[in-house]
Amino acid sequence: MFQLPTLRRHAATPSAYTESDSTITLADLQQGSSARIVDVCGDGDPAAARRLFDLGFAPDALVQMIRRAPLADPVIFRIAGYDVALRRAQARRIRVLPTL
Amino acid sequence: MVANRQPGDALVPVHPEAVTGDARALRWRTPVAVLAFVGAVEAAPDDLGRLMTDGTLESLSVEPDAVLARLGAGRDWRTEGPRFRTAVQAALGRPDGWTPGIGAGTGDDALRMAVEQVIAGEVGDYVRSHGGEISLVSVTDGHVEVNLSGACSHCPASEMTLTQRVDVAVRRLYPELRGLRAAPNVGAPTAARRLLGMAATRGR
Amino acid sequence: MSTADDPHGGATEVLRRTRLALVGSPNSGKTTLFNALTGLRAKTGNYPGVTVSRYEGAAVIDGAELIVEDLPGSYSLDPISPDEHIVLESLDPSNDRVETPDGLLVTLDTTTLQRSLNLLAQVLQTDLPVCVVLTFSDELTRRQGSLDVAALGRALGVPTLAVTSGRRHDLAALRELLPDPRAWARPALPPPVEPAEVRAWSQSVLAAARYTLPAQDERTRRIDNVLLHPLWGSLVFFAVMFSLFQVIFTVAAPIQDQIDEFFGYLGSQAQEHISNALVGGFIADALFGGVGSVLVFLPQIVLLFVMISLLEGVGYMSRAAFLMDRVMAKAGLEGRAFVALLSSMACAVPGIMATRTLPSARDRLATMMGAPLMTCSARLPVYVLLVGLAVDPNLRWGPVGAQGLTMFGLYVGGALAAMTAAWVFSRLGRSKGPLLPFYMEMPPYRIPSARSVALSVWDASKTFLRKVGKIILVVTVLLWLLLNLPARDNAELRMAGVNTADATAVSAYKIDHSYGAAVGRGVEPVFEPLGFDWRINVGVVASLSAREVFVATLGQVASAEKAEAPQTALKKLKVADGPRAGEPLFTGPVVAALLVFFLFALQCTSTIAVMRRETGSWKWPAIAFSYMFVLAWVMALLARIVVGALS
Repeated sequence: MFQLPTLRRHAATPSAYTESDSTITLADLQQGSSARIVDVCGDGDPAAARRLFDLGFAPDALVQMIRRAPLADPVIFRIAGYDVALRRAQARRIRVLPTL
Repeated sequence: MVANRQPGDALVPVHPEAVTGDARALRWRTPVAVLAFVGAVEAAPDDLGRLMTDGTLESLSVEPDAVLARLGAGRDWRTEGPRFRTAVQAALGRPDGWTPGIGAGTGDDALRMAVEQVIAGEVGDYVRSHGGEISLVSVTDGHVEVNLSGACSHCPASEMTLTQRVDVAVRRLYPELRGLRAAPNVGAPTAARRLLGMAATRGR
Repeated sequence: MSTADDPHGGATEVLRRTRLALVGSPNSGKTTLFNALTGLRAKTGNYPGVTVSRYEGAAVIDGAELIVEDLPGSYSLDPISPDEHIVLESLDPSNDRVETPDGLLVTLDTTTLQRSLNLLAQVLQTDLPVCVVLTFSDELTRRQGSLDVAALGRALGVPTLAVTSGRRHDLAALRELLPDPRAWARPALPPPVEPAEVRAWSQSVLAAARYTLPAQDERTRRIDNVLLHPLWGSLVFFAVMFSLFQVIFTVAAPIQDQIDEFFGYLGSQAQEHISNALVGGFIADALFGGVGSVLVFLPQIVLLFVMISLLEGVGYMSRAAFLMDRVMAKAGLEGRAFVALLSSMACAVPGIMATRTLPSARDRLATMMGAPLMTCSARLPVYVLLVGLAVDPNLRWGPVGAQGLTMFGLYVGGALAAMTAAWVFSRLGRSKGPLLPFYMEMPPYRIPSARSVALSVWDASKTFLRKVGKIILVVTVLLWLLLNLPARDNAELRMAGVNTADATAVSAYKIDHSYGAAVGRGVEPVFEPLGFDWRINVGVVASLSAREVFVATLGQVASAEKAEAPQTALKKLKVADGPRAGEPLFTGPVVAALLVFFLFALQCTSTIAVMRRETGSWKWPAIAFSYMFVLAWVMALLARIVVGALS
């Protein structure tokens, strides 16, 4: 009853992102800039990817980089209307397309 | 959130709501006007179509912001729900694959249904709770005329705000609405009631 | 099964009471709601076999008593930590380890509704009756967000109501629903499980409820600009941590002294009025002394928990953790562990209790395993005594004295040892499961209610006194008996050539011939390589009740005039037998070994007891005691060899 599926690499293949040269990882996002999430890499650790989904890091969601900690890690992001800090190691698993 | 989504990006947002007094029916709320028509569905694409033909579904009809589905006898939503959900989401992604049934309509029919839904819904409830009454007079080419009557009909200000409320609610279901106004002085009963209302005011 | 309908008052005990469980993500107002429903009737315990606290309380509605359980806050039912496993197990009817609730109250923070629906979708999968409680809707309005609560309820298909904390009317409406969860509306069809479908479902629900996201909280943004600023933020952080440390260290100290004095006074009264010296001594030292040694922790615990729950309630704790995360990551921990380790520099007991703020059970354990190695205030008198014995007070380089430098070295050594131990244990924990992703919500700054602060302090103090106090008291009594039995009468003392008028000589004779001394002699082979003789061993055994007891016990053994300051007497002590017979006992290498032994060894029953309480089993205190004993022994041996080679 409680079995939950792990995240597929793409929830739905986003046609708009096929020319994906311009995608970067969430860890590379500059302070204040926003991006749209392309996918969350679930390879090797599907549970962690599922958790990121439950936190709001779902394909197509808008995310903004708010600030870095003084020692560069972790980083605060705004997603789904709230702020959450991720370590860069996690942020690197999330591929995003910067919005202009 | 829904507004800036591009078709094909992800699944069409849907969720089911219970239909009072009918356990076999579920109203699947969808974004407004994903389909170009309202009313009965003759045929639907892919798996949803199969659900219609194999007797899982007894009937399927389209509303401005929902698809109303009724299961065949002896079936229940707990079992059929997941398959229906996947099927209806896939079908809504292919709006031109749907065939309207007898009595289904487009344009003004969808608008008429939207107005009726608003009158039956929250806005109508609000008017009725204040002793008023609201009814649809006509729908012509994107223009709507409603009739406001009852306790608050003598007050021009309330008529204005009411019309505005109805306008907003209808537009939410039918964004192409071109205009909505209260019918001026329609029919003897309303006029009489209005006179009575004025008389009562003077008498005080 | 509302017991309110039961006409026979006596039968209500037989009937199973309705159980409700609170589910929600951290910061969703779940605990505030729990406090509002149960108040002082809450009990804290542990889930069987895991380091997860369990909060349960009774709510009385219309004379009927409901059991309300506050499940650990979690963002998902897809469990990746032991805490989340608890939530899952609690909601699984097929799991017999924990009782399945009859209904679930799911708290959803309306300012984070979009995310929270993911959790709700999973909760609705369980098919238990669910009632949704929307929180912080006043904040949603203030931040220009909006939500149609009735429409949300229709879309979800379950009872849905907004409860703003402090509004009695809201709470009353909720309380009316509670007694009969079986009557709650259920969704005709539970939400989907597949992520893309869940997302489509939640988008549709939010659209139907005409939800608009709140704007960023302006107040929070302005405060964060300062508190998370690389320079100002760091300064504020150190100032906050310094004052936190100061308060538990210095503000608590005079209150603790007064408690000590009070029980000392009670003890002396008892001794004066009870003619039998043994009974008098037992009541004075074992009973009053034992109660005193429990209560003496209370000021620190109360103060620490006032500050922690204030910082947590305001929202600063996650900011502090954010600033310190990089540093703590080096020890395999996360930022939030910093407060616990810092508190442990005053005392490991409140420090270990402070690990409750850590969301991951694995981090809690790793922190608890490291925390007792921090130099706590009880080690201070031992260090002062031993450093005074071995290090020349006149040896100094400019303003830096050798004694001070040694003390500083001991503090740094403790901190490094604590971090290393935490690192090792978090590594060990990691081998047992996948690496938890790190994520930490940054809640908006909010003003905590005095009620929730008070309840958290009350809860911490109550559990400490009840569960931990018992263990400390028993051990204190046992140790007293060990060091004072068998009883000696004056005739026997005179036969042994002891001047019965000389209290110092009497107490020295008593302790030298006690069961404790026998234990000290018995363990001599263990401590022989470290250069400890049986007299030091008695001190080590006695210090199990509290480290500072070592000083007084050693003084007693050495028949010092002033047992509290036995330096002079100790310096004169000679090794009694063996190959080193006749040499001074406290040589440089032996003192070094003792210092190092006290740095590492878990010589503290209170710490063991609080660890037992917080982990819910004797397993972890046993592991901690053993590993720290072995570590202490090996390091002490090394210290003796190295210092011996140097001098």
